[in-house]
Amino acid sequence: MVPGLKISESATAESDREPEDGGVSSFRFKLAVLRYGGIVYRVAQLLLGDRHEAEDVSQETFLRYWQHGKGVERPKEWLLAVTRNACLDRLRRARPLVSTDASTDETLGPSEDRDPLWHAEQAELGGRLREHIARLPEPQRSLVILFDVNGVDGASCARILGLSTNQVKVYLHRARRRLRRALEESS
Amino acid sequence: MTDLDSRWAWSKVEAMADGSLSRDEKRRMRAVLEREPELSAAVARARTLRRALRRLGKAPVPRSLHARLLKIPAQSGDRSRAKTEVWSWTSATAAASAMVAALVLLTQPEPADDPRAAALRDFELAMTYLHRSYEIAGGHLKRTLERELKEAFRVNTGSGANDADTENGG
Repeated sequence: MVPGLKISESATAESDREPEDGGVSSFRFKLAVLRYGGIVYRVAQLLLGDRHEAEDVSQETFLRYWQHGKGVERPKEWLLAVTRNACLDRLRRARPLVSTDASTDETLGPSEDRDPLWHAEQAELGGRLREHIARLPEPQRSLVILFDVNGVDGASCARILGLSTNQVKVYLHRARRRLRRALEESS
Repeated sequence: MTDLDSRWAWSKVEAMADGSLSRDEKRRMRAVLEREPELSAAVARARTLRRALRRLGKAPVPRSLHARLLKIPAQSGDRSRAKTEVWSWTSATAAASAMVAALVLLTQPEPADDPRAAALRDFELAMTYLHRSYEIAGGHLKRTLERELKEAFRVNTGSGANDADTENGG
């Protein structure tokens, strides 16, 4: 379980009765999947660098929420903390997978109205950036993924990672400096 | 520009890139940026990094993922949960049965009792009816009296006023 995370869900219907076995109700579960399925997957995908592993971790995370999510007051933080722990466990077991997954290049889809050269540059930059993020030490890597990539606020990052807000600022500063230097060196 | 300004500006590169500087700080930063091309380049790199990181966060989620996740409750096969659900269904059924039984018992016709009890019930019913009739009739009487009195008072006052008018006019 994730220590120190109390989760509050405002959108709890009165009729949404929770089961008594520690699991979350199906209403809350579906709500969580629809609201946080994307961010859980993205965080896992960036931490692991592999789409299929990220899907597996997302499934594991939501299964745990289904079984043990009762009383969770901040589902987003709880889910992200569980996701991160699951990813780090996998990374400890097998060597870090620096993104070699070609499918991750979908992230830079040609949604913006720019020329192909720009898209190629951005795809290349994105690829390098993923490699550099994967080489960051913890908790810098998780912080960059949560705060800079996925826009999770500082206070939530602090609770997810068990850090103080000052530590969050310091680690973020260090991580960004490392990334900037790494990008300069690799370009 | 002082050395202090320069050092301050270099410590605010990230803040400048993410737009979190205050108006005064931005003004101060711009003054330093005009004189230090290296700082300007550093801010540009920080902005590029920030944009690239944000773009990573727009990674598409596989379409099948949500459907796969939503199937978890059906597929989890949690025995304790299944057991709980069986128990909750059983207890709900038992509660419903008890309610039905209670209703059946309550709606059954009462057994015939002795004539004195029946007479007492009839008397209570008659008294209730009488009391209610008195309330209705009393209310009606009260309203009628009030209406009549008001009317009488209005007529009386009107005639008084007419008298006064007549006096004034005369």
